[in-house]
Amino acid sequence: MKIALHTGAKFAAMCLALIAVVFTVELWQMVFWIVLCFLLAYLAGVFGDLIKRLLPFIYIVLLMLLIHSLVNPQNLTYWWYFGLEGLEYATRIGMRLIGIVLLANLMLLTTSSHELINYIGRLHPDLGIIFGLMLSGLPVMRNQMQTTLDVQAARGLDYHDRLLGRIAAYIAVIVPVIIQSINRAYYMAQLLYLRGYTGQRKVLEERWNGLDWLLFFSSSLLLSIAIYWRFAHC
Amino acid sequence: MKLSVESLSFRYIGKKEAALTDINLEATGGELLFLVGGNGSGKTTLLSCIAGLMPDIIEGEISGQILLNGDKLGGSNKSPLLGFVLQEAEVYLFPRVEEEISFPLQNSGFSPAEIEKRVQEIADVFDIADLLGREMNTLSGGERQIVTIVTALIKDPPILLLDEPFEQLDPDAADNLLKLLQTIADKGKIIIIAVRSFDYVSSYGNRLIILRNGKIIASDSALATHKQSSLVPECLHSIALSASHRLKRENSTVTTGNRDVVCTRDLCYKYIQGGGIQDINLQLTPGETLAIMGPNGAGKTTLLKHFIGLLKAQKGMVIVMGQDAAKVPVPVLAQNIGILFQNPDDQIFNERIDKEIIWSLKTKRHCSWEKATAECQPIIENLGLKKIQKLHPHSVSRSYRQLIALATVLSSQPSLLILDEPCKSLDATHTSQLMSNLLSQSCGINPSIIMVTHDPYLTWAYSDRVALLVNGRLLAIGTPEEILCNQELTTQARLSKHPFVKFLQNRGQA
Repeated sequence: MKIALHTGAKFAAMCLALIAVVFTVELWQMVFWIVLCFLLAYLAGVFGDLIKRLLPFIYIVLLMLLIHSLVNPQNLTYWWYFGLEGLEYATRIGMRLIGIVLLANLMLLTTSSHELINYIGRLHPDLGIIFGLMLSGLPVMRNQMQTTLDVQAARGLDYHDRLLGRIAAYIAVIVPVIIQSINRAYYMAQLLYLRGYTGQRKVLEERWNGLDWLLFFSSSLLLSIAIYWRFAHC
Repeated sequence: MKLSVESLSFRYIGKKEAALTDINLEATGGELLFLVGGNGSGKTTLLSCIAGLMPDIIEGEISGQILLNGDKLGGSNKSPLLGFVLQEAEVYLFPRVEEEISFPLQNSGFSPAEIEKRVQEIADVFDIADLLGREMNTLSGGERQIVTIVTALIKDPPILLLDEPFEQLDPDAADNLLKLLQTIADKGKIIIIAVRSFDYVSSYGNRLIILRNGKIIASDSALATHKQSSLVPECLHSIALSASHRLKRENSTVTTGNRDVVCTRDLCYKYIQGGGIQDINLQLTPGETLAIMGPNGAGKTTLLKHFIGLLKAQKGMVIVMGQDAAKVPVPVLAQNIGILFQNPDDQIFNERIDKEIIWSLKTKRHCSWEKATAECQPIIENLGLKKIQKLHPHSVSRSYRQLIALATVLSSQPSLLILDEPCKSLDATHTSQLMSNLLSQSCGINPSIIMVTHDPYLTWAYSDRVALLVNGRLLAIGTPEEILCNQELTTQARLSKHPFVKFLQNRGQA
């Protein structure tokens, strides 16, 4: 069965859940958030992709755990070299980070950029287009950067040189990248015109179905519970 | 259906001279029209005018009118009717193919269901259904070209304009594209293709229009190519060019017994996402010119990058002038190697042309600015850049910028020159100017040259040996005659449908 949720509902639910995650302090609640995200990802069939996107953040969290357990000034009790207070603090921050990353990626993975562009376009029609152009422009800029780095290195530029050399190298690389971006923008303006973009795009209304409302209310409920726990129990 | 352009003139803002003067042309439905002209002849300007980009998107002064079936195009009728494939095929708007293609439909307010249906239909017609879910930046040059054309056609425009559509394509892909365009024209559309050479005109076009300095100097049936081509030497057909001159070096200076300039042993490099090169064994003797040819995505650029150390061999070895290229840092290796990349805009960053050239020499040699300036003077003079050396590089035309890039490469007098599609956007006159500058002894150097190109004429006229690279493997290596006249090899390397290759093979049989 294919479940079709509207982008707006997903976006609203994600925002509510994000606030809830920020308010959460209890460890078991954070575990609940993470398990919930994984469960939803599994149901949506994006579990593997989600793990892949999470991996770099896992490393950051591990690093945070290490640093806080070693040098956090609040460390009083020690297990071997590791301070437990810092470890607990880092665990909390780390899990919150993972929760936020999971929620945002869950949204991005289950929404095509086309739907996202359309949704942002509802806030303001041009905003959606700008967002879309930005998404397509990033990999192009990255490639351009790599190309120019290669070309200038082949011209003898050594950007592992001393500091002064590095600043000069920076100019030799950044100027062609900027010029190429301007050129690209010039042709993109032509393309926008040729493809009939007039800035008066008709925005598609989305009408929420039962499932959308269910998602919205359940995330509102979770947020209220999280806030209740935060202020009633701590 | 009839398109007519009446006494059209256009002048870019801030320019004294008009880019187009008094253009009159007519085209009827079902016609495949070639617009032939050299660099700076006004082809792109004319197409942009017809597409309605002037004067709103591209600023300037326009006069005259463009009519479709008697109605004025553009103006009050704001919605653009035409499909226009820009020369810059690598520019696109959205990350995914499907979004790119459906964007024009979204702008006209189609419902999502209808958009999906239409995109599916056109994808089936052009056989690109498997591309729809892909990301634009993962497409090959040929695939992206087709996507751009499909996007231009999605709203079923009566006119399709294409600006230098074959630049990125290998000869067989270009031939396939022309066949496709012919079927589109047969359905009653007007197709106008701007090109800078007569190569494909007589076999595919219905009519040709020759542009020079912004004026139409001839308009004739495509069959009259031979008669008209003498008017514009900058656009000569490869076959005509090959009759006039073949500019090889009289490189008698090759000292036998000298060690190879470049030598690869079982070179392998694989990308994680697929593709790459495998088991490459190549030798380049001093003073030799080697051309590397092969289809889009065969690994030509990957191979080139090994010679300058930008990629390190995963297996095997690359020896460049006695050094293991994988073990020497790129800037050190670069001191004796000059490499000319496809696009000069990827590297030019100084505010003056001479500074750009001097910077290059100074960086390579680590010498003083004064010394580099003195050493660069002969190069600047030899390449004819003396008059413009104080100008900003971006204020001169693209073909000059290619010359500037060449000057930066030649300034350090490298003993190995690597050229990646050196003449990609140059017309015949500029090409022969660039190549003769490269090969002439007047620069005081006689480097070994490796060049990558799709152009069989360039290979035939300027190289001593040709290496064919297909699917990352070295298919064959030999003299241009041996390779280009061999039907089996050229078919595998997707070269066989180029008119010049056909001509060579027919001549060989006769």
